[in-house]
Amino acid sequence: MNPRQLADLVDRHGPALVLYARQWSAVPEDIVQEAFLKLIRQGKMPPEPVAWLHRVVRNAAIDAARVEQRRLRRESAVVGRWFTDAALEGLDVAAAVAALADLPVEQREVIVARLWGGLSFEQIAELAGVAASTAHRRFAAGLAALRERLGLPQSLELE
Amino acid sequence: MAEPRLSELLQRLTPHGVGLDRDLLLFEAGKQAAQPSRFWPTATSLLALSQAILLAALLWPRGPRDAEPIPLAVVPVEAPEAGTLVADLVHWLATEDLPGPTSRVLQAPDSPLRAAEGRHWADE
Repeated sequence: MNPRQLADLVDRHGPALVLYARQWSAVPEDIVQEAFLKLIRQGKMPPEPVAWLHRVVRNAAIDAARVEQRRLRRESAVVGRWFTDAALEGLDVAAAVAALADLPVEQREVIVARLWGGLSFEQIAELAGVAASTAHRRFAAGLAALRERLGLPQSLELE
Repeated sequence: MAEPRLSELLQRLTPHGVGLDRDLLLFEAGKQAAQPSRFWPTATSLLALSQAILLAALLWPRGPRDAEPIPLAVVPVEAPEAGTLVADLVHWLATEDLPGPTSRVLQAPDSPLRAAEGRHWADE
């Protein structure tokens, strides 16, 4: 594996993968780190490395969450570490993070994988083991719930 | 100016990924990429193995070999002429019947030391 290729993956997708793992696990950095190490040990790059990494992270995060259910609930309350931004014009970051954290994990997973992971609905559907239409519906429902929770006007249309 | 969509707003947020050890990952990737050639370790292992097999073969205790019987060739020999020394010898080897002391083999016919039969020197 080309180290430059890996560095690019880490820089471009590492934080999004951490955010994705955070949907289940209290130790998302460890899980993403392990996923990258697994990719390195594999030797060759999979055809879709970003989707591959999301799949590995998802499986590991869900496994970790099963082991540490109690700890996960405690850590989930700490929502301030999800993003580096403290403020964003037109959006209350703290309220957005809190609203995201309150979403059902099925909807949150799709939103995180789509918006920050950059995956297609087909890739997300394959990850979650559902149909692409289901993934799209969860995404729309999650965004609608966020919009309502954040008190945003309906003019903020969905994708 | 049109308001941005909620998804676009959310996308502006940068996920927090400080906990990743980027240096360790790159180190591991470099290590993986620079794997040494396996030729020499393999060649060395094969040579060592062949030496061990050879040593074992040399030191292994072996029983007597069952040698192939050597075929004997029967060469026809002409019978020696009767009355000759060779004929007497062949006869003796076959029968172990040694000729008597008066045989011409042991005593020349013209020997001055001829033993007198039935007489002893002390009788004279």
